[in-house]
Amino acid sequence: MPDLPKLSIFEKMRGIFTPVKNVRRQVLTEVARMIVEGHPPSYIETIPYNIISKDTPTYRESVFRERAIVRERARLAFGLDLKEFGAHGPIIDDVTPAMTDKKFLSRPIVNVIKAGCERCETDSFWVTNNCRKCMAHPCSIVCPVEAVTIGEKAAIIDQEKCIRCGRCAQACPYNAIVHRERPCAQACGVNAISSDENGFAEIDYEKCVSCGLCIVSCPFGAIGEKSEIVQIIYTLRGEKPVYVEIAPSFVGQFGPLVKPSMIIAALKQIGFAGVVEVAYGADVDTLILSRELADLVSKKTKDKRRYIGTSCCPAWVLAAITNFPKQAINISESFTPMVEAARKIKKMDPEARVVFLGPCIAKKNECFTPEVAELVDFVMTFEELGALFQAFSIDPSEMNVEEEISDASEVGRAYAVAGGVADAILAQTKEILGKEIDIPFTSADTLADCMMMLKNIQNSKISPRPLLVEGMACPYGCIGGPGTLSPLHRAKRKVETFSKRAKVKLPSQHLKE
Amino acid sequence: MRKVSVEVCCGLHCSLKGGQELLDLIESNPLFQGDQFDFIPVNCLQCCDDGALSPVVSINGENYMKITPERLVSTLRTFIN
Repeated sequence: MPDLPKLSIFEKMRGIFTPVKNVRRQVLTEVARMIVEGHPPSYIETIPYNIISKDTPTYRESVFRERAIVRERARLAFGLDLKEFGAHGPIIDDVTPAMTDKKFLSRPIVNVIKAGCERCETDSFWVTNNCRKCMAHPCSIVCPVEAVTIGEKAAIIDQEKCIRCGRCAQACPYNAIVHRERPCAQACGVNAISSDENGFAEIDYEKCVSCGLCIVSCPFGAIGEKSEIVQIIYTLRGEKPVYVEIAPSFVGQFGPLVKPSMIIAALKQIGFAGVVEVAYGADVDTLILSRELADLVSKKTKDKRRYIGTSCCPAWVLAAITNFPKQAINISESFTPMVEAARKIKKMDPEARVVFLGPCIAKKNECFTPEVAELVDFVMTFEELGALFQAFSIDPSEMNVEEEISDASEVGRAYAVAGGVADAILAQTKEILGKEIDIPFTSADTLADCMMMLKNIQNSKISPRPLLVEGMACPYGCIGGPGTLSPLHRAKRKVETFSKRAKVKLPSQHLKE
Repeated sequence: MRKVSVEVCCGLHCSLKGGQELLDLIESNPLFQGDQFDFIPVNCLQCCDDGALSPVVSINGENYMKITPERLVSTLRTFIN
């Protein structure tokens, strides 16, 4: 075998442009164009025909099914609920109320488009035609429940009897037995995805934290998230000034030729009154958490917490609260950088309406918290902004380079890459304590690893006991978020370069207490 | 050996249709290593009809519209001596 690294489910389709991404983006662009060009609500019915315009199918067995999926995607792009599966009817029924500058979004954010779901096998072992029906047949010998028999041409696994222990696959000399798992369920770090009675993927919303990684892991594009682009376009047309706060992972998202200041110039061209770096909010949080950590390290506190957990990733926080309530009390109660940056905007302009721009789908869910809802009006991903740029015919790569934005410190801008949050807090804490000391810490990215980390902490399996714990739901941190456009390795490099250009290194060097 | 200049459009429309990914794909392809190929990200080539024909790659000045990764690789292979 060539020496290639084994890729996790998150990495397999990253950095590759697939037809799934193509359709996702086309729907967003069509919907954004419909609003920007001022078409009537009935225009939505033509969107599936604009996108699936051929007479013969491209991706599925029929154009009718392809259009049915696009119809559902168009609904999601408006922020509408999916039509109940099997309940047929026009899509425009309830589209008019979505054409507003008011908040329209409702839960759930992440939705299975059943028309697109191919009902993949859930967690089972299968004999492939690599099987030689060998003389040794260790598969049937090692099976603890007599589920494997040797048939006429190959080994056969009785799926009723099989307990999915995997021993047959481990023993097969031809690697003929494979573990089949549905990609969406594999991507879900909180085990929220199972199959319904018909085999369609089903999300348990008690467990789902809206991280959105199932969306980008489904090879059939059968899971989608609701968007607020329609309401954002209407808001941009309103009287009140609309500000956009941009997450630190924005750098490089629009291609290798687009400098950060060009993205900002393009945002202003489509009508945003001002732009603030979310990394500013990261700095505020770094200061709060560093103070908490400094107190914990110097034991100057009555704080009963055993460690400080980071609070910037809403999917991680929610997953910790749901799955490890006893550990979750250690997570800082400070608000996320998104909220702190929104506070700064509201201070600058109390009339402002605020849009968060980032890689994150969980932020859409975070905005249902009443305190957050007061400050942040809408959430938009980089991918959705791409659709807006297209609809407004504004190309960031053709902007003139303006003066650079400078709201944040070097460590704040580095929040976007896994490990960056802990690095920032550790550097700031040492500054507060005024000495170089070793503070034990641990960090994890992807929810599955985060949950494993919490389990290990709970069972005291991490030594020395960490005083700082960083959790990030997305692979490699925010740069691996589901709403990103840029391949991971490029994004990482760009974030590093941009953070080095910050005027100060630490939050305390530019923020007052 | 004839030099091949491969300009991959990284304007807005082509970026959103996978321009960056195309660039990564050919830069990392073992067949195209060495001095023969120059891979250059460029601004909008102004020929995509607002994205309808994206992504665009220009090979030695000739524009290839709506190019798929598979077609790009097979086209570039014809330039290998």
